[in-house]
Amino acid sequence: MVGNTEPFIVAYQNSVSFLSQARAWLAAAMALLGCALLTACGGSGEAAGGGEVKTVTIASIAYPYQGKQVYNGVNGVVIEQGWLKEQLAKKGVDLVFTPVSTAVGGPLINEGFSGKRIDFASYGDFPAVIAVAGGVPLKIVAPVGQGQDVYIVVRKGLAARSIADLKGKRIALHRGRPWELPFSKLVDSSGLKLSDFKIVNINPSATPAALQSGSVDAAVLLSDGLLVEQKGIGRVIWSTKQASADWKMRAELFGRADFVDAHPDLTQLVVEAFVRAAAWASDEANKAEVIRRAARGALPEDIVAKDYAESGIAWRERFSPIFGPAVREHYRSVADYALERGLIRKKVDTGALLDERFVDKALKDLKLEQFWAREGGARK
Amino acid sequence: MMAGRHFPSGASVPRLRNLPVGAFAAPVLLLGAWQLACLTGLFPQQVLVPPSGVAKALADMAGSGELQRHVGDSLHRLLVGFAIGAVSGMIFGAALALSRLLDAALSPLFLTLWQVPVIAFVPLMVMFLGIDEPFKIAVVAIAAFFPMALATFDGIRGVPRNWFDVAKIYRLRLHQLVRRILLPATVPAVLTGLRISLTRAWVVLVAAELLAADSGIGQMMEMGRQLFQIDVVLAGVVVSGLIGFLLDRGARWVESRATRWRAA
Repeated sequence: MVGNTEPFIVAYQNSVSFLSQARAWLAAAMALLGCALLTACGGSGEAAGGGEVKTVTIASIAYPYQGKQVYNGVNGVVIEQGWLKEQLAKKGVDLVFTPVSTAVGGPLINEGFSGKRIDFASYGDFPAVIAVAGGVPLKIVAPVGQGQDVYIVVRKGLAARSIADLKGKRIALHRGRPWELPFSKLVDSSGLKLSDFKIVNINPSATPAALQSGSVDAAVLLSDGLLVEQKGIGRVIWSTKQASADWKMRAELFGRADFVDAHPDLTQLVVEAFVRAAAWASDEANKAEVIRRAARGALPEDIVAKDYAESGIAWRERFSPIFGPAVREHYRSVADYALERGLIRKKVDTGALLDERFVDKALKDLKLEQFWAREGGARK
Repeated sequence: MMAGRHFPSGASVPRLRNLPVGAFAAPVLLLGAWQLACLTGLFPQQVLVPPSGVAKALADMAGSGELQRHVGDSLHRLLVGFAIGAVSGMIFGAALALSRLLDAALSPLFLTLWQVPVIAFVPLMVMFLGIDEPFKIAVVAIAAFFPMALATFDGIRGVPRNWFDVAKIYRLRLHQLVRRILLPATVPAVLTGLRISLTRAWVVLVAAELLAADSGIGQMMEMGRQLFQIDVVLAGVVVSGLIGFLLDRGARWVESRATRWRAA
């Protein structure tokens, strides 16, 4: 195999002296290789040294707002409460939050995990399964919510009422992102195929403009789909609210498996901070504040309120960190489905993905064992 | 009447056959280091994909026809966009070189726009052209236009003044002037322009496909990134580099043939 590639790649690399673009590509390849090598050595050093950890890095989707990065959901509360930073500082460890824009999302986080540049990330189900299938072992150390709804929006002036009406139309779908799976399930259950549509792979930030200019006929989005509707650019024709509860996309707090195993004490602190933050957010008294924060920088408050109100999830359970049977079932279904559809190339062991011990201990330590509903789904 | 004297860049002939063995050392070393790094097992194979893994990804994609589809789409865009961009660039460059008035009126704007990366025009182009084929063809056309216009301009301006005087004495008509003096005298410069704009257009096309497309070699790499299939990304690097290399080699070959014909 190697013998076959050699002349091929030698020829390619030879072009360097002639072509500036080949030089650029080579530089990129070398940078990739260099990074991989560096981090490989760095990573092994850390493991062999028994864990001289200087920083704990958590990545999360964030939005720029008034010149600052505002972090999504429970992450923002963790930062605001400051408890985790204090606790880690006592151990001489720095806490770093890495903002990731929604335009890039999961793929960037996966690259960070594989390069061991981040230790935890709260992000979506599908990209995480992609990472695990791609050889980057992760663990769910805490759920951060009960799922988010996915919307299909059609551009203004298009008469489509259902997915079947969109056959042959151009649909904006950012590939490899969590909302691809509910869309794919809908396509399947309607007896259609992905190839029945012209899928345009653009990120959610670019999507409203594409809808407005008519470059795409429809788009698959999260709650930003409601914003598109409110602005009069499009109309929601379907959402996961119309499907069974497990169609919603989920996000959790994922940890890099080797970090979690090497540093259970630090992981425990991180998880406890998220459970504390979830308990605060789940308090009905803080509801208005939570919605205000969730809206800040990304969406108008009434959009968030509408999205939350119609989700069928009780306020108390919205940010529940409980590992109900629904979590396990969801990841099994995500992994099986992605494999079946050829979106991932290796089977993912969902049993190894869930690591419940940290949440269990945090609930016990914080005396919150009875705070959230235990049974799966926790529906209203 | 050696054109090479006036257009040094046009006189460059393929040098690959003269390359010393040493030129192969760096790529071979890199390849060896790459394979070695993979063999240490410090990183999972999916993350640090070995050269053999990239070859396998290429073979798999070629087997399923996916690779051919992406390459075909990209090359089609390149061909159409390049034809439009190169021809209009040639006409524009010639007009600028032959008319002092046009030169004075348009040169500053032209030279300013030439400094702007084509990718910077992407949002504007998406607004006006959408994200389908016209957009990608326009990206290629713009990328090809500027180097072509500049090369043609330089080529014509490089023709000695007294040749025009001779043409005047012989009372050559415009088409005769073009065919018998301008065309032969500017061929090397124009061919160099064609080669530069061709390879430049290819780079810009791949970059534009990374941003917005439903097919093509750039989109293949972007999808690979989004689905964390690094072997597909690297396969795209190899294929686009190779295609760029072959385009350049092909253009150089044409260039050297044409220059030989001129010299004879």
